[in-house]
Amino acid sequence: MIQRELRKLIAPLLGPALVLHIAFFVLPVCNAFYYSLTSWSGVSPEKEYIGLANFVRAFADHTFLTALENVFLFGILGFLVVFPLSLLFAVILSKKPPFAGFLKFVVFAPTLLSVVVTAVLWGSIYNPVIGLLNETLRNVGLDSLTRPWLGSRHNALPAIAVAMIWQGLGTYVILFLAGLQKIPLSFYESAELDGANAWQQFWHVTLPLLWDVVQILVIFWIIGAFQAFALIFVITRGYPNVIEVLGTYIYWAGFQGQSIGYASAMGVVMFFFVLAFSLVVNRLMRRESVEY
Amino acid sequence: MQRLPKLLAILFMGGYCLSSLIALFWVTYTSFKTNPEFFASTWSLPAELRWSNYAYAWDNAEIGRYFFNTAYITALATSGTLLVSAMAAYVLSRVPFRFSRFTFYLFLSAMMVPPMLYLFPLFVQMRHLHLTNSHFGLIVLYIATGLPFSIFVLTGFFRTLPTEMEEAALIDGASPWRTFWTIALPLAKPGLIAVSIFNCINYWNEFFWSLILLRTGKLYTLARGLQTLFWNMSTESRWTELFAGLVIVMLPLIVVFILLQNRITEGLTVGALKG
Repeated sequence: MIQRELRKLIAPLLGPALVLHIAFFVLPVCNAFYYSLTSWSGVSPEKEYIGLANFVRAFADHTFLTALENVFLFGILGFLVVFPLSLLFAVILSKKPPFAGFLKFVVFAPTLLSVVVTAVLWGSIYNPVIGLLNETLRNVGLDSLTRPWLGSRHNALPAIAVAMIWQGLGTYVILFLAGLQKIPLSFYESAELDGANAWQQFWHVTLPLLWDVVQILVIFWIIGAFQAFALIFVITRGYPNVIEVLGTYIYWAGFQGQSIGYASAMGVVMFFFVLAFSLVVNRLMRRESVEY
Repeated sequence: MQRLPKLLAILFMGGYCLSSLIALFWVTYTSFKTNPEFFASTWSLPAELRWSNYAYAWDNAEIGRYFFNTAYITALATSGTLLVSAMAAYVLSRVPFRFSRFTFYLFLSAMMVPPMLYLFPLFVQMRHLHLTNSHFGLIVLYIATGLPFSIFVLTGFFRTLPTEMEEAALIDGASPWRTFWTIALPLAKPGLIAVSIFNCINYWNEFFWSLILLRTGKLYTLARGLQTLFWNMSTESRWTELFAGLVIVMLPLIVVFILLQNRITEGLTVGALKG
Protein backbone atom coordinates (compact mmCIF):
# COMPACT_ATOMS: atom_id res chain seq x y z
CA MET A 1 0.00 0.00 0.00
CA ILE A 2 2.74 2.39 1.02
CA GLN A 3 4.70 1.43 -2.07
CA ARG A 4 1.81 2.29 -4.32
CA GLU A 5 1.32 5.61 -2.58
CA LEU A 6 5.00 6.43 -2.93
CA ARG A 7 4.98 5.67 -6.64
CA LYS A 8 2.86 8.75 -7.15
CA LEU A 9 5.97 10.76 -6.31
CA ILE A 10 8.11 9.43 -9.15
CA ALA A 11 6.91 11.79 -11.88
CA PRO A 12 6.70 15.08 -9.94
CA LEU A 13 9.88 14.59 -7.89
CA LEU A 14 12.17 12.86 -10.36
CA GLY A 15 10.81 14.62 -13.45
CA PRO A 16 12.54 18.01 -13.17
CA ALA A 17 15.97 16.50 -12.50
CA LEU A 18 15.60 14.00 -15.31
CA VAL A 19 14.47 16.59 -17.83
CA LEU A 20 17.39 18.89 -16.98
CA HIS A 21 19.86 16.04 -17.05
CA ILE A 22 18.67 14.75 -20.41
CA ALA A 23 18.48 18.21 -21.99
CA PHE A 24 21.84 19.49 -20.73
CA PHE A 25 23.86 16.29 -20.58
CA VAL A 26 22.50 13.18 -22.30
CA LEU A 27 21.39 14.93 -25.48
CA PRO A 28 24.57 16.97 -26.02
CA VAL A 29 26.71 13.88 -25.33
CA CYS A 30 24.84 11.93 -28.01
CA ASN A 31 25.16 14.87 -30.39
CA ALA A 32 28.88 15.10 -29.70
CA PHE A 33 29.37 11.56 -30.96
CA TYR A 34 27.30 12.44 -34.01
CA TYR A 35 29.18 15.71 -34.73
CA SER A 36 32.50 13.87 -34.40
CA LEU A 37 31.62 11.90 -37.54
CA THR A 38 30.84 15.00 -39.59
CA SER A 39 32.80 17.84 -41.12
CA TRP A 40 30.52 20.46 -39.61
CA SER A 41 32.17 23.87 -39.33
CA GLY A 42 29.65 25.23 -36.87
CA VAL A 43 28.52 27.96 -39.26
CA SER A 44 27.30 26.27 -42.42
CA PRO A 45 23.94 24.52 -42.21
CA GLU A 46 25.01 21.19 -43.73
CA LYS A 47 26.72 18.49 -41.70
CA GLU A 48 28.47 16.13 -44.07
CA TYR A 49 29.10 12.60 -42.79
CA ILE A 50 32.79 11.80 -43.15
CA GLY A 51 33.14 8.65 -41.06
CA LEU A 52 36.27 8.44 -38.95
CA ALA A 53 38.20 11.03 -40.93
CA ASN A 54 38.31 13.45 -37.96
CA PHE A 55 39.92 10.78 -35.80
CA VAL A 56 42.48 9.94 -38.47
CA ARG A 57 43.21 13.65 -38.76
CA ALA A 58 43.68 13.99 -35.00
CA PHE A 59 46.29 11.28 -34.73
CA ALA A 60 48.24 12.83 -37.60
CA ASP A 61 47.89 16.35 -36.15
CA HIS A 62 51.15 17.46 -34.64
CA THR A 63 49.53 19.97 -32.26
CA PHE A 64 47.01 17.43 -31.03
CA LEU A 65 49.77 14.93 -30.28
CA THR A 66 51.81 17.57 -28.46
CA ALA A 67 48.74 18.54 -26.44
CA LEU A 68 48.19 14.89 -25.56
CA GLU A 69 51.84 14.54 -24.58
CA ASN A 70 51.55 17.62 -22.37
CA VAL A 71 48.53 16.11 -20.64
CA PHE A 72 50.56 12.99 -19.88
CA LEU A 73 53.54 15.03 -18.69
CA PHE A 74 51.35 17.13 -16.37
CA GLY A 75 49.63 13.99 -15.14
CA ILE A 76 52.84 12.11 -14.39
CA LEU A 77 54.72 15.12 -13.05
CA GLY A 78 51.86 16.04 -10.74
CA PHE A 79 51.27 12.47 -9.72
CA LEU A 80 54.88 11.97 -8.67
CA VAL A 81 54.72 15.09 -6.48
CA VAL A 82 51.12 15.23 -5.30
CA PHE A 83 50.80 11.75 -3.87
CA PRO A 84 53.98 11.59 -1.75
CA LEU A 85 53.54 15.24 -0.71
CA SER A 86 49.89 15.01 0.30
CA LEU A 87 50.44 11.72 2.10
CA LEU A 88 53.39 13.22 3.97
CA PHE A 89 51.35 16.29 4.98
CA ALA A 90 48.41 14.12 6.02
CA VAL A 91 50.64 11.92 8.17
CA ILE A 92 52.17 14.99 9.81
CA LEU A 93 48.74 16.51 10.45
CA SER A 94 47.39 13.23 11.85
CA LYS A 95 50.10 13.34 14.54
CA LYS A 96 48.54 16.62 15.75
CA PRO A 97 51.59 18.90 15.60
CA PRO A 98 51.43 22.41 17.12
CA PHE A 99 49.29 24.75 14.97
CA ALA A 100 47.71 21.72 13.20
CA GLY A 101 44.52 23.65 12.48
CA PHE A 102 46.41 26.58 11.00
CA LEU A 103 48.63 24.36 8.83
CA LYS A 104 45.56 22.53 7.56
CA PHE A 105 43.96 25.86 6.75
CA VAL A 106 46.96 27.08 4.76
CA VAL A 107 47.29 23.83 2.80
CA PHE A 108 43.58 23.60 2.06
CA ALA A 109 42.71 27.26 1.38
CA PRO A 110 44.00 27.30 -2.24
CA THR A 111 41.60 24.48 -3.07
CA LEU A 112 38.67 26.75 -2.29
CA LEU A 113 39.84 29.57 -4.53
CA SER A 114 38.60 29.91 -8.07
CA VAL A 115 40.96 28.45 -10.62
CA VAL A 116 41.10 31.95 -12.13
CA VAL A 117 42.48 33.32 -8.86
CA THR A 118 45.19 30.65 -8.93
CA ALA A 119 46.00 31.44 -12.54
CA VAL A 120 46.19 35.20 -11.95
CA LEU A 121 48.25 34.76 -8.77
CA TRP A 122 50.80 32.41 -10.36
CA GLY A 123 50.70 34.26 -13.64
CA SER A 124 51.83 37.35 -11.70
CA ILE A 125 54.47 35.43 -9.77
CA TYR A 126 55.93 34.11 -13.03
CA ASN A 127 55.71 37.43 -14.88
CA PRO A 128 59.19 38.10 -16.32
CA VAL A 129 59.17 41.84 -15.54
CA ILE A 130 57.32 42.38 -12.27
CA GLY A 131 57.00 38.78 -11.13
CA LEU A 132 57.90 37.74 -7.61
CA LEU A 133 59.98 34.76 -8.70
CA ASN A 134 62.45 36.47 -11.05
CA GLU A 135 62.71 39.47 -8.73
CA THR A 136 63.56 37.23 -5.80
CA LEU A 137 66.13 35.31 -7.83
CA ARG A 138 67.75 38.61 -8.83
CA ASN A 139 67.78 39.83 -5.25
CA VAL A 140 69.63 36.76 -3.98
CA GLY A 141 72.14 36.88 -6.84
CA LEU A 142 70.82 33.98 -8.86
CA ASP A 143 70.31 36.08 -11.99
CA SER A 144 71.28 33.14 -14.17
CA LEU A 145 68.15 31.29 -13.08
CA THR A 146 65.72 34.03 -14.08
CA ARG A 147 63.74 33.32 -17.22
CA PRO A 148 60.38 34.01 -18.86
CA TRP A 149 58.67 31.21 -16.96
CA LEU A 150 55.66 31.05 -19.20
CA GLY A 151 57.55 31.86 -22.37
CA SER A 152 58.43 28.40 -23.60
CA ARG A 153 57.05 24.91 -23.21
CA HIS A 154 60.21 23.78 -21.48
CA ASN A 155 59.78 26.32 -18.63
CA ALA A 156 56.01 26.49 -18.61
CA LEU A 157 55.50 22.79 -17.97
CA PRO A 158 57.06 22.68 -14.48
CA ALA A 159 55.88 26.23 -13.68
CA ILE A 160 52.24 25.45 -14.41
CA ALA A 161 52.52 22.06 -12.71
CA VAL A 162 53.54 23.85 -9.51
CA ALA A 163 50.44 26.05 -9.71
CA MET A 164 48.25 23.00 -10.32
CA ILE A 165 49.75 21.19 -7.36
CA TRP A 166 49.39 24.25 -5.13
CA GLN A 167 45.68 24.38 -5.89
CA GLY A 168 44.99 20.65 -5.88
CA LEU A 169 47.04 19.49 -2.91
CA GLY A 170 44.49 20.42 -0.23
CA THR A 171 41.84 17.98 -1.45
CA TYR A 172 44.29 15.11 -1.36
CA VAL A 173 45.60 16.02 2.08
CA ILE A 174 42.08 16.25 3.53
CA LEU A 175 41.01 12.92 2.04
CA PHE A 176 44.19 11.12 3.13
CA LEU A 177 43.77 12.64 6.56
CA ALA A 178 40.19 11.37 6.80
CA GLY A 179 41.43 7.90 5.78
CA LEU A 180 44.23 8.00 8.34
CA GLN A 181 41.92 9.01 11.15
CA LYS A 182 39.76 5.93 10.56
CA ILE A 183 42.67 3.57 11.29
CA PRO A 184 42.40 2.44 14.92
CA LEU A 185 45.35 3.40 17.11
CA SER A 186 45.45 -0.15 18.48
CA PHE A 187 46.84 -1.36 15.14
CA TYR A 188 49.91 0.80 15.62
CA GLU A 189 50.24 -0.26 19.24
CA SER A 190 50.35 -3.95 18.31
CA ALA A 191 52.71 -3.22 15.42
CA GLU A 192 54.98 -1.44 17.87
CA LEU A 193 54.83 -4.38 20.27
CA ASP A 194 55.92 -6.59 17.39
CA GLY A 195 58.93 -4.31 16.95
CA ALA A 196 57.92 -2.52 13.76
CA ASN A 197 59.62 0.84 13.27
CA ALA A 198 57.81 3.92 11.96
CA TRP A 199 58.64 3.16 8.34
CA GLN A 200 57.47 -0.47 8.62
CA GLN A 201 54.29 0.68 10.35
CA PHE A 202 53.61 3.06 7.49
CA TRP A 203 54.36 0.45 4.84
CA HIS A 204 52.53 -2.50 6.40
CA VAL A 205 49.70 -0.88 8.36
CA THR A 206 48.93 2.58 7.03
CA LEU A 207 49.29 2.12 3.29
CA PRO A 208 47.27 -1.12 2.92
CA LEU A 209 44.45 0.39 4.98
CA LEU A 210 44.52 3.57 2.90
CA TRP A 211 44.44 1.65 -0.38
CA ASP A 212 40.77 2.46 -1.12
CA VAL A 213 41.44 6.17 -0.69
CA VAL A 214 44.56 5.98 -2.87
CA GLN A 215 42.56 4.28 -5.60
CA ILE A 216 39.84 6.95 -5.62
CA LEU A 217 42.42 9.72 -5.61
CA VAL A 218 44.40 8.25 -8.51
CA ILE A 219 41.21 8.21 -10.59
CA PHE A 220 40.49 11.80 -9.45
CA TRP A 221 43.93 12.81 -10.58
CA ILE A 222 43.62 11.16 -14.00
CA ILE A 223 40.27 12.79 -14.70
CA GLY A 224 41.66 16.12 -13.51
CA ALA A 225 44.79 15.86 -15.67
CA PHE A 226 42.83 15.10 -18.83
CA GLN A 227 40.36 17.88 -18.17
CA ALA A 228 42.99 20.49 -17.35
CA PHE A 229 41.80 23.61 -19.10
CA ALA A 230 40.99 26.71 -17.09
CA LEU A 231 44.32 27.19 -15.32
CA ILE A 232 46.36 26.84 -18.51
CA PHE A 233 43.85 28.82 -20.56
CA VAL A 234 43.94 31.79 -18.19
CA ILE A 235 47.62 31.74 -17.28
CA THR A 236 48.76 31.72 -20.94
CA ARG A 237 46.49 34.73 -21.60
CA GLY A 238 45.13 33.54 -24.91
CA TYR A 239 48.51 32.64 -26.39
CA PRO A 240 48.03 28.90 -26.45
CA ASN A 241 51.00 28.11 -28.68
CA VAL A 242 53.37 28.15 -25.72
CA ILE A 243 51.82 25.17 -24.05
CA GLU A 244 48.72 23.47 -25.28
CA VAL A 245 46.76 20.74 -23.53
CA LEU A 246 43.86 18.73 -24.87
CA GLY A 247 41.28 21.05 -23.29
CA THR A 248 42.72 24.28 -24.66
CA TYR A 249 43.29 22.80 -28.11
CA ILE A 250 39.71 21.55 -28.33
CA TYR A 251 38.41 24.93 -27.19
CA TRP A 252 40.38 26.90 -29.79
CA ALA A 253 39.65 24.38 -32.54
CA GLY A 254 35.92 24.69 -31.91
CA PHE A 255 35.56 28.40 -31.25
CA GLN A 256 38.35 29.91 -33.35
CA GLY A 257 39.12 27.22 -35.89
CA GLN A 258 35.46 26.88 -36.86
CA SER A 259 35.62 23.13 -36.87
CA ILE A 260 33.00 21.75 -34.52
CA GLY A 261 33.24 18.28 -36.07
CA TYR A 262 36.97 18.05 -35.49
CA ALA A 263 36.76 19.54 -31.99
CA SER A 264 34.02 17.07 -31.05
CA ALA A 265 36.11 14.18 -32.35
CA MET A 266 38.98 15.26 -30.09
CA GLY A 267 36.47 15.45 -27.23
CA VAL A 268 35.46 11.88 -27.96
CA VAL A 269 39.13 10.84 -27.87
CA MET A 270 39.50 12.60 -24.52
CA PHE A 271 36.45 10.80 -23.19
CA PHE A 272 37.77 7.38 -24.18
CA PHE A 273 41.16 8.14 -22.67
CA VAL A 274 39.56 9.08 -19.35
CA LEU A 275 37.38 5.97 -19.45
CA ALA A 276 40.22 3.64 -20.39
CA PHE A 277 42.60 5.02 -17.78
CA SER A 278 40.00 4.85 -15.03
CA LEU A 279 39.21 1.23 -15.89
CA VAL A 280 42.88 0.26 -16.09
CA VAL A 281 43.67 1.93 -12.77
CA ASN A 282 40.68 0.26 -11.20
CA ARG A 283 41.87 -3.12 -12.42
CA LEU A 284 45.55 -2.63 -11.61
CA MET A 285 44.94 -1.29 -8.14
CA ARG A 286 42.29 -3.78 -7.16
CA ARG A 287 43.34 -5.54 -3.99
CA GLU A 288 41.33 -7.51 -1.56
CA SER A 289 39.94 -4.68 0.45
CA VAL A 290 40.95 -4.95 4.07
CA GLU A 291 38.01 -5.02 6.44
CA TYR A 292 38.60 -3.62 9.88
CA MET B 1 67.50 8.28 14.51
CA GLN B 2 63.76 8.69 14.16
CA ARG B 3 63.74 12.30 15.24
CA LEU B 4 65.71 13.76 12.35
CA PRO B 5 63.39 12.69 9.48
CA LYS B 6 60.45 13.82 11.57
CA LEU B 7 61.98 17.23 12.15
CA LEU B 8 62.86 17.56 8.46
CA ALA B 9 59.33 16.63 7.46
CA ILE B 10 57.83 19.25 9.76
CA LEU B 11 60.32 21.89 8.59
CA PHE B 12 59.46 21.05 5.00
CA MET B 13 55.74 21.40 5.59
CA GLY B 14 56.33 24.62 7.52
CA GLY B 15 58.35 25.95 4.58
CA TYR B 16 55.62 25.07 2.13
CA CYS B 17 52.97 26.80 4.21
CA LEU B 18 55.19 29.83 4.74
CA SER B 19 55.81 30.34 1.01
CA SER B 20 52.11 29.94 0.37
CA LEU B 21 51.32 32.60 2.97
CA ILE B 22 54.02 34.93 1.63
CA ALA B 23 52.51 34.73 -1.87
CA LEU B 24 49.07 35.64 -0.54
CA PHE B 25 50.52 38.36 1.66
CA TRP B 26 52.44 39.78 -1.34
CA VAL B 27 49.23 40.08 -3.35
CA THR B 28 47.46 41.75 -0.44
CA TYR B 29 50.04 44.43 0.37
CA THR B 30 50.78 45.09 -3.29
CA SER B 31 47.11 45.95 -3.76
CA PHE B 32 47.80 49.05 -1.61
CA LYS B 33 50.75 50.25 -3.69
CA THR B 34 50.71 52.58 -6.67
CA ASN B 35 51.84 51.20 -10.02
CA PRO B 36 55.03 53.32 -10.13
CA GLU B 37 55.87 52.06 -6.63
CA PHE B 38 55.26 48.50 -7.79
CA PHE B 39 57.38 48.81 -10.92
CA ALA B 40 60.21 50.37 -8.88
CA SER B 41 60.30 47.36 -6.59
CA THR B 42 58.26 44.17 -6.60
CA TRP B 43 58.92 43.32 -2.96
CA SER B 44 58.71 46.68 -1.18
CA LEU B 45 55.87 47.47 1.18
CA PRO B 46 53.43 50.26 0.26
CA ALA B 47 54.43 53.70 1.50
CA GLU B 48 50.88 54.18 2.83
CA LEU B 49 47.62 52.23 2.80
CA ARG B 50 45.88 53.48 -0.29
CA TRP B 51 42.36 52.26 -0.94
CA SER B 52 42.15 53.88 -4.36
CA ASN B 53 43.08 50.61 -6.12
CA TYR B 54 40.05 49.03 -4.50
CA ALA B 55 37.81 51.86 -5.63
CA TYR B 56 39.19 51.49 -9.15
CA ALA B 57 38.76 47.71 -9.18
CA TRP B 58 35.25 47.91 -7.75
CA ASP B 59 33.95 50.71 -10.01
CA ASN B 60 36.07 51.17 -13.14
CA ALA B 61 37.02 47.53 -13.56
CA GLU B 62 33.42 46.64 -12.64
CA ILE B 63 34.38 44.02 -10.05
CA GLY B 64 31.50 45.40 -7.98
CA ARG B 65 29.01 44.57 -10.72
CA TYR B 66 30.53 41.10 -11.18
CA PHE B 67 30.33 40.59 -7.45
CA PHE B 68 26.57 41.15 -7.41
CA ASN B 69 26.08 39.10 -10.58
CA THR B 70 27.98 36.21 -9.02
CA ALA B 71 26.15 36.55 -5.70
CA TYR B 72 22.67 36.29 -7.13
CA ILE B 73 23.56 33.64 -9.70
CA THR B 74 25.17 31.56 -6.96
CA ALA B 75 22.18 31.99 -4.65
CA LEU B 76 19.61 31.00 -7.27
CA ALA B 77 21.67 28.15 -8.69
CA THR B 78 22.41 26.74 -5.23
CA SER B 79 18.77 26.78 -4.13
CA GLY B 80 17.62 25.42 -7.48
CA THR B 81 20.09 22.56 -7.35
CA LEU B 82 19.13 21.80 -3.77
CA LEU B 83 15.42 21.61 -4.54
CA VAL B 84 15.68 19.57 -7.73
CA SER B 85 18.33 17.17 -6.45
CA ALA B 86 16.65 16.57 -3.07
CA MET B 87 13.39 15.63 -4.79
CA ALA B 88 15.14 13.26 -7.19
CA ALA B 89 17.34 11.74 -4.47
CA TYR B 90 14.27 11.03 -2.34
CA VAL B 91 12.63 9.02 -5.12
CA LEU B 92 15.86 7.21 -5.97
CA SER B 93 16.45 6.19 -2.37
CA ARG B 94 12.89 5.43 -1.22
CA VAL B 95 10.70 4.40 -4.12
CA PRO B 96 11.57 1.07 -5.78
CA PHE B 97 10.76 1.14 -9.49
CA ARG B 98 12.03 -0.59 -12.57
CA PHE B 99 14.57 1.93 -13.88
CA SER B 100 15.66 3.23 -10.51
CA ARG B 101 19.24 1.93 -10.68
CA PHE B 102 19.56 2.88 -14.32
CA THR B 103 18.41 6.45 -13.60
CA PHE B 104 20.83 6.73 -10.68
CA TYR B 105 23.77 5.67 -12.86
CA LEU B 106 22.59 7.91 -15.67
CA PHE B 107 23.05 10.86 -13.31
CA LEU B 108 26.34 9.55 -11.98
CA SER B 109 27.82 9.02 -15.43
CA ALA B 110 28.13 12.79 -15.81
CA MET B 111 30.82 12.80 -13.13
CA MET B 112 33.11 10.77 -15.42
CA VAL B 113 32.46 12.61 -18.69
CA PRO B 114 34.69 15.59 -19.50
CA PRO B 115 32.66 18.72 -20.39
CA MET B 116 34.99 19.15 -23.36
CA LEU B 117 33.15 16.24 -24.97
CA TYR B 118 29.71 17.82 -25.08
CA LEU B 119 30.62 21.50 -24.91
CA PHE B 120 29.91 22.31 -28.58
CA PRO B 121 26.58 20.49 -29.01
CA LEU B 122 25.48 22.02 -25.71
CA PHE B 123 26.47 25.48 -26.87
CA VAL B 124 24.68 25.07 -30.20
CA GLN B 125 21.58 23.77 -28.46
CA MET B 126 21.56 26.60 -25.92
CA ARG B 127 22.01 29.18 -28.67
CA HIS B 128 18.92 27.78 -30.37
CA LEU B 129 16.98 28.20 -27.14
CA HIS B 130 18.37 31.75 -26.67
CA LEU B 131 20.03 30.68 -23.44
CA THR B 132 23.53 31.90 -24.32
CA ASN B 133 24.72 35.25 -23.06
CA SER B 134 22.00 35.23 -20.39
CA HIS B 135 22.07 34.79 -16.65
CA PHE B 136 18.97 32.64 -16.81
CA GLY B 137 20.73 30.23 -19.18
CA LEU B 138 23.79 30.13 -16.96
CA ILE B 139 21.72 29.42 -13.84
CA VAL B 140 19.78 26.61 -15.51
CA LEU B 141 23.02 25.09 -16.78
CA TYR B 142 24.60 25.37 -13.31
CA ILE B 143 21.63 23.53 -11.82
CA ALA B 144 21.90 20.80 -14.44
CA THR B 145 25.64 20.38 -13.93
CA GLY B 146 25.31 20.40 -10.15
CA LEU B 147 22.72 17.62 -10.10
CA PRO B 148 24.90 14.49 -10.48
CA PHE B 149 27.09 15.15 -7.46
CA SER B 150 24.20 16.45 -5.33
CA ILE B 151 21.94 13.52 -6.18
CA PHE B 152 24.78 11.12 -5.49
CA VAL B 153 25.44 12.52 -2.02
CA LEU B 154 21.79 13.05 -1.06
CA THR B 155 20.67 9.60 -2.22
CA GLY B 156 23.37 8.13 -0.01
CA PHE B 157 22.23 10.39 2.81
CA PHE B 158 18.52 9.50 2.56
CA ARG B 159 19.48 5.81 2.62
CA THR B 160 21.13 6.24 6.00
CA LEU B 161 17.99 7.81 7.52
CA PRO B 162 15.42 5.60 9.28
CA THR B 163 12.16 5.24 7.35
CA GLU B 164 9.84 4.57 10.30
CA MET B 165 8.62 8.13 10.73
CA GLU B 166 7.73 8.46 7.07
CA GLU B 167 5.95 5.10 7.08
CA ALA B 168 3.98 6.06 10.18
CA ALA B 169 2.90 9.30 8.53
CA LEU B 170 1.82 7.50 5.37
CA ILE B 171 -0.17 4.93 7.36
CA ASP B 172 -1.83 7.74 9.30
CA GLY B 173 -3.08 9.03 5.97
CA ALA B 174 -0.64 11.83 5.14
CA SER B 175 -0.09 12.16 1.41
CA PRO B 176 3.34 11.04 0.18
CA TRP B 177 3.84 14.57 -1.11
CA ARG B 178 3.31 16.00 2.35
CA THR B 179 5.43 13.29 3.95
CA PHE B 180 8.32 14.26 1.73
CA TRP B 181 8.13 17.98 2.47
CA THR B 182 7.33 17.94 6.17
CA ILE B 183 9.09 14.81 7.43
CA ALA B 184 11.80 13.54 5.09
CA LEU B 185 13.30 16.89 4.08
CA PRO B 186 13.73 18.29 7.60
CA LEU B 187 15.40 15.04 8.67
CA ALA B 188 17.86 15.33 5.79
CA LYS B 189 18.95 18.83 6.84
CA PRO B 190 22.63 17.99 7.57
CA GLY B 191 22.99 16.41 4.12
CA LEU B 192 21.22 19.32 2.45
CA ILE B 193 23.50 21.82 4.16
CA ALA B 194 26.66 19.92 3.21
CA VAL B 195 25.63 19.69 -0.43
CA SER B 196 24.65 23.36 -0.54
CA ILE B 197 27.96 24.55 0.89
CA PHE B 198 29.77 22.48 -1.71
CA ASN B 199 27.62 23.75 -4.60
CA CYS B 200 27.75 27.32 -3.37
CA ILE B 201 31.57 27.36 -3.43
CA ASN B 202 31.63 25.72 -6.85
CA TYR B 203 29.18 28.15 -8.40
CA TRP B 204 30.90 31.15 -6.84
CA ASN B 205 34.20 30.04 -8.42
CA GLU B 206 32.81 28.66 -11.65
CA PHE B 207 34.72 29.77 -14.74
CA PHE B 208 34.33 27.32 -17.61
CA TRP B 209 30.63 27.69 -18.39
CA SER B 210 30.60 31.43 -17.83
CA LEU B 211 33.48 31.68 -20.32
CA ILE B 212 31.48 29.69 -22.86
CA LEU B 213 28.10 31.33 -22.34
CA LEU B 214 28.69 34.97 -21.40
CA ARG B 215 29.84 37.38 -24.10
CA THR B 216 28.67 40.78 -22.84
CA GLY B 217 30.92 42.43 -20.26
CA LYS B 218 28.16 43.59 -17.97
CA LEU B 219 26.89 40.03 -17.53
CA TYR B 220 30.25 38.63 -16.37
CA THR B 221 30.73 36.72 -13.15
CA LEU B 222 33.74 37.34 -10.88
CA ALA B 223 35.86 34.55 -12.35
CA ARG B 224 35.15 35.68 -15.90
CA GLY B 225 35.70 39.33 -15.04
CA LEU B 226 38.98 38.66 -13.26
CA GLN B 227 40.23 36.65 -16.23
CA THR B 228 39.44 39.53 -18.60
CA LEU B 229 41.15 41.99 -16.28
CA PHE B 230 44.24 39.77 -16.17
CA TRP B 231 44.35 39.37 -19.94
CA ASN B 232 44.11 43.15 -20.34
CA MET B 233 47.35 43.53 -18.37
CA SER B 234 49.37 43.05 -21.57
CA THR B 235 48.07 46.40 -22.79
CA GLU B 236 47.06 48.21 -19.59
CA SER B 237 49.61 47.31 -16.91
CA ARG B 238 47.41 48.28 -13.99
CA TRP B 239 48.82 45.50 -11.84
CA THR B 240 48.07 46.94 -8.42
CA GLU B 241 44.43 47.41 -9.38
CA LEU B 242 44.38 43.81 -10.61
CA PHE B 243 45.68 42.68 -7.23
CA ALA B 244 42.97 44.69 -5.47
CA GLY B 245 40.45 42.83 -7.61
CA LEU B 246 42.13 39.55 -6.73
CA VAL B 247 41.81 40.30 -3.02
CA ILE B 248 38.13 41.22 -3.42
CA VAL B 249 37.52 37.84 -5.07
CA MET B 250 39.55 35.83 -2.53
CA LEU B 251 38.42 37.50 0.66
CA PRO B 252 34.82 36.21 0.95
CA LEU B 253 35.98 32.63 0.44
CA ILE B 254 38.75 32.90 3.00
CA VAL B 255 36.29 34.36 5.53
CA VAL B 256 33.71 31.66 4.79
CA PHE B 257 36.39 29.02 5.11
CA ILE B 258 37.55 30.32 8.49
CA LEU B 259 33.94 30.22 9.72
CA LEU B 260 33.02 26.85 8.24
CA GLN B 261 36.32 24.98 8.00
CA ASN B 262 35.14 21.74 9.56
CA ARG B 263 31.86 21.64 7.70
CA ILE B 264 33.58 22.18 4.36
CA THR B 265 36.25 19.54 4.86
CA GLU B 266 33.68 17.08 6.20
CA GLY B 267 31.42 17.72 3.22
CA LEU B 268 34.28 17.06 0.86
CA THR B 269 35.21 13.83 2.62
CA VAL B 270 31.66 12.52 2.65
CA GLY B 271 31.19 13.32 -1.01
CA ALA B 272 34.38 11.69 -2.19
CA LEU B 273 34.70 8.67 0.03
CA LYS B 274 31.16 7.47 0.67
CA GLY B 275 30.93 6.19 -2.90
